[in-house]
Amino acid sequence: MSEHEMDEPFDGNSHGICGFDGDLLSAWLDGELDGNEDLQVREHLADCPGCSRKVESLRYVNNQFARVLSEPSAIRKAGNRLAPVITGRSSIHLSPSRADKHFNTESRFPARLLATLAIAFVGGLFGFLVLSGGPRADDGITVDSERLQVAMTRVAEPLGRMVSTNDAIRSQQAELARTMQQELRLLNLMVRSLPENEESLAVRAEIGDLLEKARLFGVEIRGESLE
Amino acid sequence: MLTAALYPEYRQQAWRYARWLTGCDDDADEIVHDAFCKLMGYEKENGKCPDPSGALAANPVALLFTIVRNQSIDVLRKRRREQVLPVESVAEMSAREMPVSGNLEMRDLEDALREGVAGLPKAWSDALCLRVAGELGYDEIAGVLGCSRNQVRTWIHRARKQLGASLALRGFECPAERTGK
Repeated sequence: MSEHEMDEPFDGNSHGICGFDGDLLSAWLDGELDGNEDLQVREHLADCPGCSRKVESLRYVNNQFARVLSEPSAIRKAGNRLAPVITGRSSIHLSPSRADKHFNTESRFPARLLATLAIAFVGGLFGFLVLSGGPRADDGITVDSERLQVAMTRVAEPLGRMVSTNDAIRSQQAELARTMQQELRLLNLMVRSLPENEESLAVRAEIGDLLEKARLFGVEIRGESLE
Repeated sequence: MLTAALYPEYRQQAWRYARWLTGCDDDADEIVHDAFCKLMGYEKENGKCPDPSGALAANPVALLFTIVRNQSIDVLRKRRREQVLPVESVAEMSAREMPVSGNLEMRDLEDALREGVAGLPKAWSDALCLRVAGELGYDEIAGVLGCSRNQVRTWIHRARKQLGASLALRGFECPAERTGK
């Protein structure tokens, strides 16, 4: 803090017309005065309408500030989910967590598996056709270019939908990974700071699972190694 | 665990302070998380931190808010550097960085407040924002700003007075001043 900032010019002084120290009024509003000063301000305000008005004016500024800060969109609990962990309370229960919900392996695997199989099928079909020298009719089925085109379309069209769905999922996961990055870093630090007792063992295991699952999904914790 | 004690008590205040400084929920989230991560890191290293005077042990709240403040300034600087945005990201950014308040009257009030605060000397606005958004006591503010308690008291009073005048010019006048009662 530079010296000139402290002596910044101010149009007006801290003393009112009555000569009372205005700084005391602000400090009184903030509850920052000791018993004697508090009493002194109260007595003065009882006798001085000018200073009472000034207090109202100061209070008004405070209230307007508080109104803006307490607007509904601004009220959000920052990191509430982590509160029991960081405070070391015994009743910690991390599952089902947000990470579990969003990174649910069971719900993602069928789509991935199907997409992989479909790609393998199309690839295999092409490979077969190339190696065998083109469509033939001596394998019990009639293969012509039109039928092949239809079959490929039937595979490619749903496959395209699957790929685009997977793209959407990947993009969603990337976004989730980004937002989870900070919390995971904090969890990683916290798991090391937990006390060595029986209660914390279960918590430690749950956090470990969570971190491991996050790592499986490619959520890296920058600058920290997983516990 | 010192950080564990600070977390429940100060995380919301730190978030509000960061939110006011950056005007962005996401940035405030990251800043507060980073700040607590840093504090935990310092604590793990037995209170060693960049401040050789051992600020963590002496005034941990001041250290927390100093970190939040510095990181908020970094975010603002970075944002200024990245002001040239591709068209498609503008809609996303404007949705993400909505002002704190949602309705129109509040938007006007917030604009008036931000303009008024921006017009204050830096020390005054810092002290006032730490008091109102961060809800810190005068001693803690003095710790963050590296000044005396009396200076904090003076700065906050002057800031409120000047901000009141600035709000009045924008149509947000204190009813008591208007009626003269």
